[in-house]
Amino acid sequence: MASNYIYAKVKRKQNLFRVIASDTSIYELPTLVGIEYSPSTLIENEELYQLSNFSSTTFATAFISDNLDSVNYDQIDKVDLKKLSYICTVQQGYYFFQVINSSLYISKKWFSIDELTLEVDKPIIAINSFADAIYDKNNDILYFKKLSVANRIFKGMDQLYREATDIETQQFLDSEFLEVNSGFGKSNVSIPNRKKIALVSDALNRFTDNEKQAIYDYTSQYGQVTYTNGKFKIDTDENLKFVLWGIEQRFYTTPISGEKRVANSVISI
Amino acid sequence: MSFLYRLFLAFNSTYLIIVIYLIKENYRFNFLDKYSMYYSWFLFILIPIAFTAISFLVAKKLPTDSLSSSSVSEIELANNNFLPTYLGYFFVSLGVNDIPTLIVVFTIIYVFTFLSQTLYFNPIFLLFGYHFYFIKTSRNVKIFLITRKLLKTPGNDSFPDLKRINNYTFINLK
Repeated sequence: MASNYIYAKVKRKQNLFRVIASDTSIYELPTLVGIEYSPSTLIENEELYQLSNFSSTTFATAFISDNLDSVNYDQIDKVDLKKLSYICTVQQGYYFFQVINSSLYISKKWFSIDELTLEVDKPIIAINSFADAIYDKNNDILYFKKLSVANRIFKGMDQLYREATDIETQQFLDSEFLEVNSGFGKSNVSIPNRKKIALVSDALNRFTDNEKQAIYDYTSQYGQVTYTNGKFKIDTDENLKFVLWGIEQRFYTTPISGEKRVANSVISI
Repeated sequence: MSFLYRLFLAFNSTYLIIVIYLIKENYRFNFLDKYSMYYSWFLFILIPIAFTAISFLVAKKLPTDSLSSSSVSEIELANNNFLPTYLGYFFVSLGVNDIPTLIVVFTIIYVFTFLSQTLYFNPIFLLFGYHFYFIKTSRNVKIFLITRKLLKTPGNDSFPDLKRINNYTFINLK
């Protein structure tokens, strides 16, 4: 009884395909510990992001949320195998996703160590030992390392961490608490800052006027940007970064040694 | 390999046309010339049965698939669906008068049985205790299932070890 299946998503085709059924386990079952995804949280190399209740998000596909029965999926043919966008290995309630890049197609000449015959024109697809995204069906949690990679599997996930558009950037620069130098326009705003603008715009709109004033006072206390007449003076992208950090309340003072710091990555506790 | 197997299955399910023709024309095996023609006819009929038995052995090598009980949303018995088709085959072979016509008629029926793909009705499967079902899965995919199990209520039986004949036809060998 085969218990492990590999499915594949072919570019420009809606449904997935069945590739292989196997008794051999393809991945080692991992012990997954993730940190709930937030754009302001950075993870270490060995850590993972997670999205809980994934099947109820808009990114979840029918492949994830429905009962999985291989009979519903057509067998993939050879032509389609050259146009894969990702493969998914389903093993004991875990879905291991791997994005397929051209580097995973190995079209070199090769010979197997067991059978010493030279194989030409028999390209193979290598399965990495670590999946790009893992979905735990029983607990309904998606684990991933990089949002940009997970976005190639679950379209639209980059909305969780998107850049502000030109219009949004301009609106932000026009805010009443900023005094932007005429030489500094929306085209000068770096990508990291655009991402931050997308994040803080919503938060900023939710603040009451009193809260907004408190934010400005708090930001000016850390004195990185000139603050006069209720306006921050923005001459460079660097100035903008400090203001954005202020709005995100990233500045803090260590309670014992009194050192002023900025938090590079935050996790809500 | 699965392509050859499908050719073989389509052959099994249409081969009875030839058997009927041979019997109608009183053909017999040379080495059974001295015996009653019934021996020859018995052998004629035994050939497709033996081929079908071989097809079950080959089926073990087909790709494996699974269907969980909760995903079966509709069951429809299809055992009798082949009858009209088969009556058609019989009348055709009874009406054919010479070997060249038989070859042409058989080839046409064979090619279309193979190309239609959705069904491999071979009534000899019934002799081996198999039944034919149309199954609708929870994703609204209709498949043709050949199994020894007697199915009636959706959700009672699960099929962890199906063999894929083509994308619509699955056989449960156990």
